[in-house]
Amino acid sequence: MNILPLIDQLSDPDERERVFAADDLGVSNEPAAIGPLIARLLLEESRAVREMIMLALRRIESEVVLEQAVQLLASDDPFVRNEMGALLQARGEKSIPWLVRVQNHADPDVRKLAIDAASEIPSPLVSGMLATALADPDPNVVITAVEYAGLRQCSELRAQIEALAAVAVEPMLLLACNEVLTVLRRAGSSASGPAATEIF
Amino acid sequence: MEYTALTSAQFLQLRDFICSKLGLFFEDSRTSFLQKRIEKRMRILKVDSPGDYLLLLRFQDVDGREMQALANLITTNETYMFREFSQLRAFSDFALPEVLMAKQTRGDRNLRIWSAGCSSGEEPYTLAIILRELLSNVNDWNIEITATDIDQNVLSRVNEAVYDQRSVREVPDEYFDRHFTREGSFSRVRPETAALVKTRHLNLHDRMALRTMRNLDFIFCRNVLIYFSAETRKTVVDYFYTALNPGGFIFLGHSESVGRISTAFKLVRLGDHLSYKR
Repeated sequence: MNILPLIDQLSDPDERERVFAADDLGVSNEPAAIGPLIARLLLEESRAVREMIMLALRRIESEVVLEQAVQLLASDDPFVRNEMGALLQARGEKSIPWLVRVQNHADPDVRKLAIDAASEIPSPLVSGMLATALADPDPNVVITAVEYAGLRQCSELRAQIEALAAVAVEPMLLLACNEVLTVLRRAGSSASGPAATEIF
Repeated sequence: MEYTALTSAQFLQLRDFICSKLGLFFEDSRTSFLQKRIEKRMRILKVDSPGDYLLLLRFQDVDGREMQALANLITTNETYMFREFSQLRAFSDFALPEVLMAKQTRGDRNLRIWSAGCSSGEEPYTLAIILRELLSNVNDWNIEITATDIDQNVLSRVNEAVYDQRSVREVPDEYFDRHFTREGSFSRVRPETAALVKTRHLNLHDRMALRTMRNLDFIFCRNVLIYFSAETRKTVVDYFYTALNPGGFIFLGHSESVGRISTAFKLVRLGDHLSYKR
């Protein structure tokens, strides 16, 4: 499929035409459309066009979308950051290797967004990401990881969280560790265990 | 005749195929609903097993007629006039005057409304009644209420404009005689009111068809999107945006929220009601 006319159409002065172009590029499922879609997303002012660009990116099955999405977790634009997180989450386990790569990103907000995105992916691999995050130098990342470990009832992380709780000086971290350890201990002592959401 | 029940694998295949063609999404809990409708089609077509029906649908339905026949059965048509009255009041008391005033200021005498997923027509005729009641100079306006649905059978009923007691039970008494004539136990919409409504067959999953809808002042799509997959729902709402004029309003069912689907619209308060505006 020749997508060049659609790429040109992404810059059409008519907002409707840009929405249609983004939609058609998404349906084309062409990896070559990813770069132009993201370039347009970053300068586009119309929310409707931005929404359709995000939908288009979700439709394109290429791994390049994931590669770009993790990079855009560092965007200054909250819409872009949030939407990229949602996209990565929606792709499920395929996103995990890309999310793992940004766990050593210089920006702690990106590291936190990575585990936010992973937190609702139903994969055993998420536990490994949370284990890494529990050793993060940034307290917010660590607290977030502790909370997700509780919500997902990751009993395999219990020893690591106990070790954290033993040396924690941040009140928020200590509180999170204690709450989650209560959940994990109950889960360990009962077949069904309590719902973690009852505690949070 | 007893038919073999759909296996879970067949249900999933059928569900995905229907979703790809019509955008309608069926939860696992609706297997029995789907089974009953498929059995009805199998009986008509003299097909013995759900597996054979699935093959027919996927590979032999070249012109899409069977998918259309199935769509006619699996879309829900239960509705009545003046349903969700408080929302209609928000439309008539706040949104409509705002749009009309803006139009009068710029000398625009066109008013276009889309009833998307209109079912048997109770909603578009309700809107037609409201317009005829509220606009003292209704004939000075070029009004068009486009009633669309995926189900061709219900569109025939819209064109007939004849309703049973259940459909008109909530029509305010003072409106009834002005907009209906009695035909035995049925009520027929009077021609001058019915004339405001034009029907059109449209599948909300058809992106190209959606692109033909434009220059609208209001879109009513109540209790329709709930049947769609998340992706189709989002696509449809993004297309609603392109179909609306700036300042136009969108009304969904009370359990549906545009804000959860797209950030493109502005949330506005209309009296006690929240609505979305382009």
